[in-house]
Amino acid sequence: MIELMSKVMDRNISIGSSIAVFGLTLSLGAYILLGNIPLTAMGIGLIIIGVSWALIPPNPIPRKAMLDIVKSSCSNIEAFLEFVGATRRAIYIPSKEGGRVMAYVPLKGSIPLNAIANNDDRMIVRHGEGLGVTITPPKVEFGNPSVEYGGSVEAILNYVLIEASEIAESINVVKSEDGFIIEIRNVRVDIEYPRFKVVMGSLPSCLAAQAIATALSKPVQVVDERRDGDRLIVQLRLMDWIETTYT
Amino acid sequence: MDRNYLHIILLAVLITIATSSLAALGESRLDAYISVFTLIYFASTAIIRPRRRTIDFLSIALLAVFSYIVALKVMEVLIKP
Repeated sequence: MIELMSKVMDRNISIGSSIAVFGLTLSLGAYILLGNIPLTAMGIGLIIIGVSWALIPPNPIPRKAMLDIVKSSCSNIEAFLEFVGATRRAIYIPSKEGGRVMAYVPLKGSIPLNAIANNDDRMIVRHGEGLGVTITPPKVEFGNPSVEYGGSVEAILNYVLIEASEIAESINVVKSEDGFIIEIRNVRVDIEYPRFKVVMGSLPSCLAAQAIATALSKPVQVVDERRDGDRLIVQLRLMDWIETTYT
Repeated sequence: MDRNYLHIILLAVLITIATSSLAALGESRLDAYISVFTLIYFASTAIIRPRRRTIDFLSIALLAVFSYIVALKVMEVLIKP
């Protein structure tokens, strides 16, 4: 029984419920026995704080451990990109069934994006003279954002970069001629792998591109990104399925 | 700092300030305290946006209590001869 209780109750629930129970006792005692309204109110305040604490979700993996996992997975991608000699910007291509996004890294020549999407999950894409590789980029599970967030790109990025991954503090999205310009403030997590940054973009840009590709079911490319103090300004380009990778 | 815990700290500070201020002003109506707590909770939640493990039933409960208090006040005004 105790074992089951400890499985169900994490630290936040136990601390929160203790505060809430103390608040309840204080408010009832102060109201019934003392008739003291400010003390009763303080008890109610403690109930609010306790319940609010109990509602905080547990962190199954410590934040630092999670960041180390993300960084080490990026180091593998970095090594692979070095090995194949990739230098051109990757294109984030959503699967036609929805859900998954692959990063296509062009190596030689040009390939129509349609052909890459129809590559049946094979890693090496060869089409005529064109050659490239598809890799799975680091991602945050965000379901089908276009359905859950009504298709608003800002709401989707807000969820992916701030709510789910807590990778940044705030974002601003502006529609540009051929895509979006995103201003990301106070990036908390990033990687220092030069090849990864050149090809895939920084970690926030990589996640943003995947989220938009999934939401709009269109290929997306990180065209440019620059730092300005605590701001990261990312320019994303929406591509058409009939385009080729060279454009 | 983790924004979930920042929310708790902000809530604790604001509730303490509100309670001591209202007590110092000699406020003796419990509904006034609860209304202020509700406003504090909604304002801090809107600004910090803490993560929640389930639906935020505390918001629902506070909104229900706040609506009840407001309804009583409206009734009082309407029924007053």
